[in-house]
Amino acid sequence: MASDDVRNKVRPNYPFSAIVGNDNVKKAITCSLASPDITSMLICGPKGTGKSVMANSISSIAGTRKIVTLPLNATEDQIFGGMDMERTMKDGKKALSDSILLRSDNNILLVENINLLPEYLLYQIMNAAGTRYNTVEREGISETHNCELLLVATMDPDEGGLSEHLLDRFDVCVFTSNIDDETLREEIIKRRLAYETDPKKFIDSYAEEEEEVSANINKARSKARFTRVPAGYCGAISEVCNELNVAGHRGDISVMNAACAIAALDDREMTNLDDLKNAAAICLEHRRNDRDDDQQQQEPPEPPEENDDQENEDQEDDKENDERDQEENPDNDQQPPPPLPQQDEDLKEEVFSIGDTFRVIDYMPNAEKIQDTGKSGRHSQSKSNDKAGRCVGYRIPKGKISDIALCASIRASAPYQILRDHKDMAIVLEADDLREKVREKKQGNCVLFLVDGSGSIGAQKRMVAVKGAILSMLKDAYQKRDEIGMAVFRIDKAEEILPLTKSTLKAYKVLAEIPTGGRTPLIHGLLKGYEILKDRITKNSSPVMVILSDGRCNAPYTAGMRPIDEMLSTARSLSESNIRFIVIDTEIGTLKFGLALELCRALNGTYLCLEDLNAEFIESSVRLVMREV
Amino acid sequence: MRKRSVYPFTAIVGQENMKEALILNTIYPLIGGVLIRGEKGTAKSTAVRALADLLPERHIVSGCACGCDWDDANNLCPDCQEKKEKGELKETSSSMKVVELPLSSTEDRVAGTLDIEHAIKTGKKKFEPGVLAKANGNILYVDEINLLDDHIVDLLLDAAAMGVNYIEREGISYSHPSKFILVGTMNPEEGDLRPQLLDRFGLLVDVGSEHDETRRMEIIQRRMEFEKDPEGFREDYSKEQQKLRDIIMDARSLITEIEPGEEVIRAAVKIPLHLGVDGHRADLTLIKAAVAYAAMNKRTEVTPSDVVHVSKLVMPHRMRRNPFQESTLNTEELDSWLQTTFGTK
Repeated sequence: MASDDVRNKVRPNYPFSAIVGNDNVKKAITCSLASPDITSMLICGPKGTGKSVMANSISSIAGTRKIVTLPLNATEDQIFGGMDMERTMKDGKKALSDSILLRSDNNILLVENINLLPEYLLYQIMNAAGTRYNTVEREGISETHNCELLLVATMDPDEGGLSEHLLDRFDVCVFTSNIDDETLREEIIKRRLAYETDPKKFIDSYAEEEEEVSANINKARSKARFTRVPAGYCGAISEVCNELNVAGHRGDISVMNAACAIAALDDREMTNLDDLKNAAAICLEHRRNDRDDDQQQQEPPEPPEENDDQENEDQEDDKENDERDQEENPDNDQQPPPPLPQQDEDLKEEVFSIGDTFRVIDYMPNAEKIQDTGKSGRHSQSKSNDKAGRCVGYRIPKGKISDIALCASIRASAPYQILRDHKDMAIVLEADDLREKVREKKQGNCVLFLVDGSGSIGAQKRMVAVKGAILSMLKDAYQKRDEIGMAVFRIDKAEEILPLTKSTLKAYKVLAEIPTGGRTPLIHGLLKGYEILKDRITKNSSPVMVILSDGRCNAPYTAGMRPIDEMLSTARSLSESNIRFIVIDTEIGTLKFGLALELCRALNGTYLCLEDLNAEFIESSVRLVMREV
Repeated sequence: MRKRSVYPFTAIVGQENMKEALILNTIYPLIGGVLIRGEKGTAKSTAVRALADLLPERHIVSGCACGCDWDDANNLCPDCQEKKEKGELKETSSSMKVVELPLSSTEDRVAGTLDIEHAIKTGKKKFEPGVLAKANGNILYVDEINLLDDHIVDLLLDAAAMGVNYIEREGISYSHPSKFILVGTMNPEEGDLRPQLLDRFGLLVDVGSEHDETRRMEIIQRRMEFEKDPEGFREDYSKEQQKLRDIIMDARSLITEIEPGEEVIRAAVKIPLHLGVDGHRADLTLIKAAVAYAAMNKRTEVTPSDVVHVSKLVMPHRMRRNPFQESTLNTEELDSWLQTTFGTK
């Protein structure tokens, strides 16, 4: 389509050579462009750090390759290809339409905010990029075409991450960072202002440099495959990958390809250790799995033979500092002291700070109780029936059609137009042609955190870890757009401290202020939770109650009843409701009562220990076990 | 549709920050819009709609659905590009508009899609422009923007990032310029805005209700007068409106003459660094807003104190580093720091 040419005119991009700082990203870009074997690269980073500017600047150094943009509004048929309406109508024979992947062949495919794209589309796109061909099996079209492309994607991890599996598919992944150096920042601003004032003049002033970079890439691209790797290096790469606990072999292969490209860019026929080091920095960071749960070291990996410092150490340090800033509480003990005195009714009230946060596991159970959803499962997009949400496809209607997919219907009718009686219309639709839209709505869960604020949780600062866990789950909930609420039970009653809301900010404030101390009125808590959630139980959605407690209920609801018995019987009756329960056991120490587990069984819920929530902790303990075997 | 009378901008009582933020954007659209945050009934929508009356004329390509800018020949939609090559491009002028994006908008209407009517009649594909096309060169106004569906927000982010709207839908592959001033209002009690979208707004103002009794009465009296006789009321304010229009026009022509010097740039870098803000958008916006502010005050020179002045509009919403940190500005701390660093207030 002609609009590709127009596009470059529409957008005089900021020149690649004018980018200040972010050397790792620049290196990754030139390296990916120079390697015929690197098919995908990802630029991650916080907002406003120039991800988009850098990704778009590729257009001026990519030589003959053009940039094809995949916008978030793209429909499936437009990405992968479908039936070409115009040609099909004319010939009465189905013809493949122009698609984004078809246009990306021998070009560069740019996807911004790739984490906002539905995952099933992503898998198919990554697949096409990896295998270098695209197979279309849609709307009666069956075709395969070449798809030699370089996928360049950007994302802001704050808006939700990609699954590890998808992340691993990216050959190269780099992180942009905030530049804290004043002079550099001033330079950035000056250049940007100059660019905005007179784009043409600015671009012209960098034309020569751009030409040089572009020519170098071009030359390297033809040589990269002939670059040799010294014999011992393959072993070294495997060793590094092993050390960093990189799963699978994509990492090894990417490092090798990247190293060759880097050497070729440097006009050498042989890769050296520096190449390997640089390649590892851009190919392995997103694949490494060797972090301890709390100590996230961000130093880029080094091959074993090397021990000198890294060029991007400064910025890594900054990252570390940021992380330290976030850890507000230094005294979160990993090793809990000896067992707590039982039935401790510590009436002293305390407000604990929020403990360390972590990446949570996918703890929410599948929504089996939900009827009538396409895909079950948490936070996944549920098919909506109310004409709201993103249109993801269409189908042959079942029953009465209400949400007609006109475009798809027209395409369905296209092959028959030659045969039909037209009157004055070019297209005549018949009932059989009609298709209806399938829409998807990102439907967050409604999650209530029911927190035990009793003295036993306060003992040994357990509350610090509990708050840390809640905050981690809140972060997760934010990314999934869940609606969240919070209730606390302590002393003799349960209180709703955060009505159901999407405002995570409020949640944070409330969480920080939760006091601890007193008895454990768990029954009050359960009933309060039910009261809050009962209006949210509908045919299509079942809310979630996350109970964080040790289950040691010791405050009676009905006088004369044993609290534990009453708790279990209340739980059994609640298990009938359409609420999904998750019990997170906060009990620690050697003397355990296991009451939370009993509670969970009565509720027919999902049981987890507090530590089980931490994805990194789990991963590392699994590895530990594996090593022992 | 009957043309409704718009309440005059100059008749709005109080809310000086909001008015200033809106005017600065009108003077210098590259500032990147305003988010107006506040409770209901604080003249948020009234002010934005009233702005329509003050907006300057712009030169556009005649008959272009995307409102292509006549003065920006490198930035045309494919249709205009084609016309340009054939030499058929005609110029016209039209005043800037406030284009509304209703909450119920669907994806295809926002991004644009296949013109179905055309397809059925002729069997040919043709692009039907959506809201993002209409918004090009204009103000895109989203009331209650925090309630906008996620996938629509994604589209806005997409277009705002590069000022281009790419459409890949239903057999249509098209792209057109989509540079707009994003103006949103929200009531924070009803939920937050995603940080990424928040960062796209150049300026942020918090509005509250007026607590002064006499001013409250003034508000009610003016409103009642307006409702009784809208045209007469507008007539009463026509002089003031014209005065403000002149200020905006003068400032717009001044902008090109103002060159931010070293000191200004240094100030614009220092403030965000001091506050630990992500990215470089804050730095740039500080400079642009300061330039607009200087122009509004009929000056051809921008000073660090202009930067300091606009920082209260530019910084508050960028304070947040993750969704759980509050986005408020510690003004006292900032003030004393500014005092020591720049010796200004």
